[in-house]
Amino acid sequence: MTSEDMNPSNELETAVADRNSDLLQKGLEAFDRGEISPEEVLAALIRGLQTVRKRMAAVAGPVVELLLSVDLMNQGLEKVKASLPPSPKGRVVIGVVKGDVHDLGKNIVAGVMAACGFDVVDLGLDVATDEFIAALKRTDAGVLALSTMMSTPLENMRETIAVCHREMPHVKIIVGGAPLDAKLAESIGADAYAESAVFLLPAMEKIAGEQPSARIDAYTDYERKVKVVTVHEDGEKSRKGVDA
Amino acid sequence: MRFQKIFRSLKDRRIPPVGFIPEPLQDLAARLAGYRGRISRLSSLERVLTTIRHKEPDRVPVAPLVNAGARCINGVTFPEYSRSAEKAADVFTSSVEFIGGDLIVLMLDLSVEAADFGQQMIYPENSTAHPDYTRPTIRDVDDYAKLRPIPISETGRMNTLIRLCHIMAGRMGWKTLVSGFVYGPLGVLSMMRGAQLFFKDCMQYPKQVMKACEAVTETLVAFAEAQCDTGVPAVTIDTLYASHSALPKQVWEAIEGPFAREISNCIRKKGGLVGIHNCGHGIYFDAQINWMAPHVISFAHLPDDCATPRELKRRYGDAVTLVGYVPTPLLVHGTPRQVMDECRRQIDVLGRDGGFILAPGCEYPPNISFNSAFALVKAAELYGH
Repeated sequence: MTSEDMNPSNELETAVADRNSDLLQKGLEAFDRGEISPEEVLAALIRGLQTVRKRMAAVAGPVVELLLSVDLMNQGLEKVKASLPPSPKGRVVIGVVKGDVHDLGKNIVAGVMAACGFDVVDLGLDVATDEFIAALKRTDAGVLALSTMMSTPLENMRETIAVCHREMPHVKIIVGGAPLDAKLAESIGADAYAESAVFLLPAMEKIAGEQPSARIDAYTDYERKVKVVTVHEDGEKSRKGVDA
Repeated sequence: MRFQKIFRSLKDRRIPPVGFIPEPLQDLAARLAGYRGRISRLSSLERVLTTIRHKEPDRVPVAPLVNAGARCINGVTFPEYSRSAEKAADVFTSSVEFIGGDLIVLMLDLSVEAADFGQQMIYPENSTAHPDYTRPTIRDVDDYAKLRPIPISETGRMNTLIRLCHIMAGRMGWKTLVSGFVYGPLGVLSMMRGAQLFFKDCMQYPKQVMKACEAVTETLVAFAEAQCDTGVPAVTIDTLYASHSALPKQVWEAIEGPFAREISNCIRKKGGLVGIHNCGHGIYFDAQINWMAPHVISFAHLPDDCATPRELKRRYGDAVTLVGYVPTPLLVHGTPRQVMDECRRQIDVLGRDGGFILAPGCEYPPNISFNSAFALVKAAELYGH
């Protein structure tokens, strides 16, 4: 399909999927002219980001591509946010724990969460436990998402989780970041772990108690001495990742 | 000239520049060490050099990479470790003496170079030094053109690291192989810009980024040369951006590839061994080998073109010595038994015919107990034969 053949919805979807800012502007101008509703804009942006996410699940790609797509999606969301009703999927408070200033991964995850329909409250980086708790109380969020790229703030993450479980036991906690894996996440008290933004959706569905739209099978092939990870999404096997 | 340097080093009881020794002679020495290793214990240095020539030493060498983590052995604080060559040298020395290991990589943190280019820093009491990202040196795309090379004599943190290399080369002598450390130009620039904006700049303004790389690389070449001149036999270059964790392969090759080659060439011209460290996901081994021709690559995750460690060994095992790749989360939460089991698994697959050094995928987590480090060393001793 050439850009001349596209309707505004296609333009917005393709803009995010192919990281094309000209197409995004074109689609948003159509919104300004009233040719497309805010709900349709949102749906198109989400489809675009889901395309990127699925593409990266099938064939691993560089982070910067997801980052640029998230950036475009956020530009689009900013434009229509005021015209949209509250998010039906609920609210998430997200931030990088105290002692860490790396927020790239968190920013991508926040973008993907927004694309998945969550209302995201982003507290930024180097966030203390009491700031997380205050934000959860203020926003009435049901999910707390914590990130760190370093091993040194893991103790702070553990403390934040413990305080949150004590003071707000109904809040579910999801964690991610370079020094973590599923086992470590479980050992510090998290309810779920997402290896990356690509695998975020099943983890979010797990803590929301929903029937997952994607399923991850993981097992160790002792014969070949490898861990095999298979992701089934939308009824189809979309990735067979094999890792050590 | 090269032989003069070798003889002068030997006369001074220092390790000669390994790269100046003719390869057949290196192979012969490695083969003899391999034979000797069957009946007696090799020194750490012999063990590593034999491995790098892809011969089997007495056992698989191990590098626990307990750098900042070892500061508590001496009661040194994080800021002291980052800013004092003497205190850092005591920490690295204690790491080898207390925990063990056959290879030391003198990596303080990833902001050494950026700090000297004017980046404001934060030195936390209980964590690694890092840039103050609220005050980036590169505030917009136009700032890339303003960067100028810095004479090494006028640097602060880089001079600290050079002094550290000098002390450690003298202290370790013929016992343990010591490697210097240089953060690649893209890494240095990202520390002055912030990763997120920098990623986008690489995609949207590659010419401006490359212009800044020119200025930074001129300094990094002089930095690497100065490290080699202290007598350390190797220098490790960190090219984190050559992985799926950052840029597309062709973008990395276009932007950093030529500059990474310049730095590795200058190390080689000094007779040094070239190491690469990269703890990203889906590392571009092929591109990095093409541009930098390293002797060793340290990695935390499999390369983008290998699905299993067996494939990694088959594809790259002859071309380069592999250093890795015990996962950081396992070191944090695993029992010593679990760490040792993982080490045995890796030694079984990657250790055959030399060319493998057991190590964590990245620096040993600085704020955890040494149990996992001891497990690494023990695993090499027990299963590395």
